[in-house]
Amino acid sequence: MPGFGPEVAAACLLLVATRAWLGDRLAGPRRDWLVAAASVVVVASWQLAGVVVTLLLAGLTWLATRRSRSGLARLPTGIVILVLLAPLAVFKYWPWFAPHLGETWRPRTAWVVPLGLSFTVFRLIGALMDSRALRLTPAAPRLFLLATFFPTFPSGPITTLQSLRDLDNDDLRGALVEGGRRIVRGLARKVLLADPLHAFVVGPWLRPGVAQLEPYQCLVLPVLLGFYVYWDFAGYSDVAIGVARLVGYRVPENFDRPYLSRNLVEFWRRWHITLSEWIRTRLMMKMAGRRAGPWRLRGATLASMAICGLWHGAGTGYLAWGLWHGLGLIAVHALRDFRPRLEDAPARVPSELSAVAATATTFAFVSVGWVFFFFSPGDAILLVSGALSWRGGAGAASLVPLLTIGTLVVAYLGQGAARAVWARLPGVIRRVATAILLGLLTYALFLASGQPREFLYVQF
Amino acid sequence: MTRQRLAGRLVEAGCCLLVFVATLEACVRLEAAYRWGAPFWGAWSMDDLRSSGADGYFNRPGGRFEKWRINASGFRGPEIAVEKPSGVVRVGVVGASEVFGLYESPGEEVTAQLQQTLDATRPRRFEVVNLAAAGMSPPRMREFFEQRARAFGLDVVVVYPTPALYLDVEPPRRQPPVGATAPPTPRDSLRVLSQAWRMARERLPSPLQDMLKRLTIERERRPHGPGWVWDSTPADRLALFEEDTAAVLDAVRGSGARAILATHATRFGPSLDDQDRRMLLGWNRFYPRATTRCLLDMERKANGVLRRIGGEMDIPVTDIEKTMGGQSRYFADFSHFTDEGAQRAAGAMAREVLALPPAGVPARDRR
Repeated sequence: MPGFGPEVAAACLLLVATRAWLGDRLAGPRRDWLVAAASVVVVASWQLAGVVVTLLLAGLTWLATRRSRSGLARLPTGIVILVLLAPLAVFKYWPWFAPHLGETWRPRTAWVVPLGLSFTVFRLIGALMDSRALRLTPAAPRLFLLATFFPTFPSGPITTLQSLRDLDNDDLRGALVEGGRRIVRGLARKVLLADPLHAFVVGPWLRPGVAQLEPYQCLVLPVLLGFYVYWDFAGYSDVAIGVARLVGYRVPENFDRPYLSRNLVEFWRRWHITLSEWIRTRLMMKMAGRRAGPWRLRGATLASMAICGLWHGAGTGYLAWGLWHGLGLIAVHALRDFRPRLEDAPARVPSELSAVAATATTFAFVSVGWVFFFFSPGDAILLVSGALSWRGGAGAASLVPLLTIGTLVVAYLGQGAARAVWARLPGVIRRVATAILLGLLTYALFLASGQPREFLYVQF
Repeated sequence: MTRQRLAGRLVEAGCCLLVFVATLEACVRLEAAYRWGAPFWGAWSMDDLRSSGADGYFNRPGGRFEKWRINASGFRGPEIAVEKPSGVVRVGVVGASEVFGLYESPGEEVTAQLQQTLDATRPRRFEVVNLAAAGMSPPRMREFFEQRARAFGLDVVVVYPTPALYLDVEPPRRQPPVGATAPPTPRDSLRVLSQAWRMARERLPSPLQDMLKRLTIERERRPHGPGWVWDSTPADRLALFEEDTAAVLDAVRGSGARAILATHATRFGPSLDDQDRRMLLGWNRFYPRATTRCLLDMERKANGVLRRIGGEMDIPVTDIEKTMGGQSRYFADFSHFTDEGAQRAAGAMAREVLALPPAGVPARDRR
């Protein structure tokens, strides 16, 4: 399974060496073909079904985006989108839906979901919509590269024809340093933050079952899950962005300190940016239309967030998570409509304090959402009722929630200061700190007894 | 760049490297402390489990490493009173690493599972003692029963000998005189090196691992002539195995215990898959004088010998080989058990222990 292992290292080495050797001679379509071919090999080493389905869908999209008067190019965009969505329906949603129809429909054997299918389908639908809207025919190598590009293949970022950009070969050293730094940062987020959080807290807490959780654990768990999913997915995105730079491409950012958002709209501009951008521009705005009234806009918001939830997987939990965020977004918009009237009133609360309150409220709202994302509806209800029954108490019952809140406050207040302090440190101290970080990473990746956990979003 | 500046850079790089290695070492030590309760400072290695025999036994009393704990009497497992508690049937299981336990989870080795199985049938009636040590050959078993066993008042002893030990370059022999070899002294050392070596071995791709094993075997064989390698079981070694095993059984009886003989099981059934062949090669690395065919032949013939000895000496035989049926899921490597394998072996042993006629248990337990 994909985990940025030896196959990725070998592909990077080969491609970097080729870039260094051929320089500017390796550019444009030539480089796209070479990287696409390497990507096909890497993805095939992860899962053959993934690469076969991706190549078929990419071929179909390419035919549908050609400016000819025959064949697939003449099919309406909606029909081609339905065809592209078909594998998603067959592989991802049918096995979940079929048993609800009765025993006869239950699949007899376990289905293999092609790797990265949700991401591939969205990338290709995006390419199709863009090329049809702009009346452009994407070059075949670029389209196939977009579909198979190994750094982003398993879990994004969801690139588009515009956002997958070439890097010049003449600054190879700069790309290597920059890419290397991103990879180290991503791995550190994954193996030094997300994995230990899961191994030492979340995993042991959840092992006996949600019903066995203490109220204080129910209270704190959504926060911990929020950080776990953030460090894991942002770590993955960092590594993907770094690897892409090594092989000569710039892919869009996926995260921008989302937990500092002051409202949910801002959160979705900072969290899984490429997916939310895709949903907003290609789904919600299409559903709402250009001059949508407030109710149609609300409906489109709710529907597109429900689809966003279901995109993660077939399950009522994902649907509930999407709807939770949809309702939250509608509430934020409603509040904005109401706000001009508030702004006429004299200010009673200092703006900094209101910013903190807004950030805390958004964070709490998002944290509650993780309960739906990670648990079945039954367990989610248990967890929420457990959290609501928290009344403090002695020992861990008070200490753990206080410690969590304290850590959040310190992290919030210290976010800017840490960078400033780091920048002011003498070079030798920074190098020693880097050596310690690399030591910790080397240990976690290669020497620790347990293998690093798989990236969470690979399953989507 | 001036020479002075270059020297400064080199010193800085050296310091960073030192910090890097120190971080790795600290992490390895912290993990051992967290997982196994290992001391942060001081010796922590497999050597702490072993004694070269100054006390006439393989295990170092009080030794501990990772999941293994040696009690004060020199046996793996919980502490036991030297004097057997009244009303208890003390059951010993003697063998090499298969019985000592290598890959099983803590508390899931054969003897621990035998204890659980017997407890489930007759609670608090049996006490199982793991008499095994890694590499314990029949002559060493005999020595134990002649010199130390009587003190522990063993009632029943299950003997699980390892035939392959007789394919070693030199045949197993009795312990050298007491004090002839000094026990190894565990010393504190850079633990990250042994950890890195272990991880590298575990994570190397299988074809590369196989290649290294083949090279090791070839290197061992190269100095010797072609006749040095056995392609089938050498008759003298099989005879020695028979003689030594019979002597162990006599020694067990001599110590006042009743013996149960166990056949030796491996993962190798009638047909071998790729994983089996890989494991067979791994096994062969320990016995370069034998070919893989010889190893399998020795197993087959030695088990025949064990069944015959049992009949001739009127000793019950628990046929572990047949119980396992050469199924790979019971083995973590060529002959060491998984948790499931240990459970199955323990079940077979328990049946034989419980089937012993009443003479095998103290008088008060015959009711």
